Amino acid sequence: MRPAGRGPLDSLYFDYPIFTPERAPELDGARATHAVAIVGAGPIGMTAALTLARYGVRCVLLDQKETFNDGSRATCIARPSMHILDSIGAVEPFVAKALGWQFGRSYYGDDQIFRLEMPHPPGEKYLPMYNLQQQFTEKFLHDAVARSPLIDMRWQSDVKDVTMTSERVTLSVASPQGEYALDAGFVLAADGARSPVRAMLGLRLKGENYEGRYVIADVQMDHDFPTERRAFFEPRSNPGGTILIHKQPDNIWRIDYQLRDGEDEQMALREDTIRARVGAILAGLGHTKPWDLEWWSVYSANTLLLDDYRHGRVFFIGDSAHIVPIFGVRGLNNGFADAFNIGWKLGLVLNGHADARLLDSYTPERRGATLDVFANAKKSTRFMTPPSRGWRLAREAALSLSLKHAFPRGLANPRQMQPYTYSGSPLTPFVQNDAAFAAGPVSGSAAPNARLAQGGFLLDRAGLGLTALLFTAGEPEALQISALERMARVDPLFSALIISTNPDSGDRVILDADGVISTLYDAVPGSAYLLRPDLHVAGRWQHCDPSEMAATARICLGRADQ
Amino acid sequence: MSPIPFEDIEAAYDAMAQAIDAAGEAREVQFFSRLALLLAHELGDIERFRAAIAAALEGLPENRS
Repeated sequence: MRPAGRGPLDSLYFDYPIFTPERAPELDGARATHAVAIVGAGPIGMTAALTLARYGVRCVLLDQKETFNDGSRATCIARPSMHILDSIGAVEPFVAKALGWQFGRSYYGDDQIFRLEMPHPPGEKYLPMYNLQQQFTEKFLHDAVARSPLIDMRWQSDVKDVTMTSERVTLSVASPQGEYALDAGFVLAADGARSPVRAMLGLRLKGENYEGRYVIADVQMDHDFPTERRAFFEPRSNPGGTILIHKQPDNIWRIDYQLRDGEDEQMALREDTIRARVGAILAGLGHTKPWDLEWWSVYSANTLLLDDYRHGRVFFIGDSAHIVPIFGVRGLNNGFADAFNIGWKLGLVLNGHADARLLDSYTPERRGATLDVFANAKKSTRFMTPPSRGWRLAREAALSLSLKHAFPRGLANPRQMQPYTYSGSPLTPFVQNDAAFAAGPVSGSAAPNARLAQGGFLLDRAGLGLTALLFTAGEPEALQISALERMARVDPLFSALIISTNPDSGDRVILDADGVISTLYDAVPGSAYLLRPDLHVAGRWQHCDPSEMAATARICLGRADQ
Repeated sequence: MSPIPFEDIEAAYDAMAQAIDAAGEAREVQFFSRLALLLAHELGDIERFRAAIAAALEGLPENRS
């Protein structure tokens, strides 16, 4: 919502373009089956389209709106999402515009009780978190979509009906120039929490709703504070309700505040109420200068998901598949991971490098990630919005003891989003090899990055297919060479990175003279890691095992069962 | 420093919150009195128990609930 006298797109800092679609060829009799149709051109749908384009796969991208989202909404982009944006060639404007951060503070009353420091290892390319209004996320992704010759973007195109056979999906699309049928081999439903595609297929989200409600309000103001997450428990300026404050670009500040039990939502969302509450909160921060109200909305926490993220030839990605509590910034970031996960799999299947059974791993991997998010989010939600007297009293005890004692302070940790570890995935067949390692990334986890002596970063060198990291003291060992040959036969997009601790190795290898990369991966000469296209560890071998590596590669390309 | 790992503090926090709700508002004072005596018995050290009582009394928040 916006202040009286301003329309839904009348922003203080963002100029909304209005997009009109070209006349669809289907209206003039064309009836080609598109490889993929994506419903919803929000951040998740556009990321999926760009991931498919990375593999040379065309898609039609449909959105019922005529422009980007009306408000700042999902504002925190986590490091793993920056890697996804990097992979799809869209990260540069994000780095230039978004505000990176690593720290936070939690207060109880007037006193700071917890200092959040998100891990930032020296080899990482990106900060742990970036703040950016969702309109900019959508604009930057759309700029990349518009540059791609493989993406047929159609705005103002509303999907009215979905029918499916074993061969294809047919969408009835209403556009300004008329209604038409569009055939696609696969459909990705990225049409949000209220997903019309989900409803048309008769599917329902299942799970729990939580009672606590939060107002989110954006204000524009000249306010001097670093980009950090601030959480205020039992603040004087909003008695009985928690406050969260985040800085966004263009002097926009996000104020989240909890409504009191029994507070009337309609009353709480009136402009005069918003101004009074936000004014009191800003005064509590010591902000005495003027401020402008930009936009506001309300939310409550939910943990809801589909039983299966796949329905025949339709895959659900982002909020259409799952709704997660806002605390811990998991909504957008898990959506990015969904889009990239189905994107590389469908990309490899449709360009002929993988077998269609690879697609069966989408639900276990991404639904597993959602369930993991729920376990974490439940804890942070119970702390942020205690659901009963017991949880309220427990929180009061923990917070008040935190003033003098260190032991309960971690309970105020927001448990920010971490990438999920696919250790139970069908694509991670040799987890038992982890026992041979004392450290390094476990099977299924996101690969850590390293700064290279030659410039750039280790993960920048990963390829479109599977990537092997082979650790050597000079030249690759015979077993490593054999692994390379077998892998190249399995995966035409395979790439190998040879990492050598010998400073006299040639230009073809990655120099690790100080042993930093070997230590990071707990590798010895002869060790090998296999990375998936999404830079998660498919498997690792203390001593390179060509047949296990080839078997892992076949499984990751859908050519064999576990 | 706590002598028990943070995961156990989290588990204790969850168990306490659920027990307060199980006791019900009318009987939560009795629940906490009984819990305190049981913990003193388990602790087996009156000086540490007195120190914990003093720490719990210090900075007791105003009654908001």
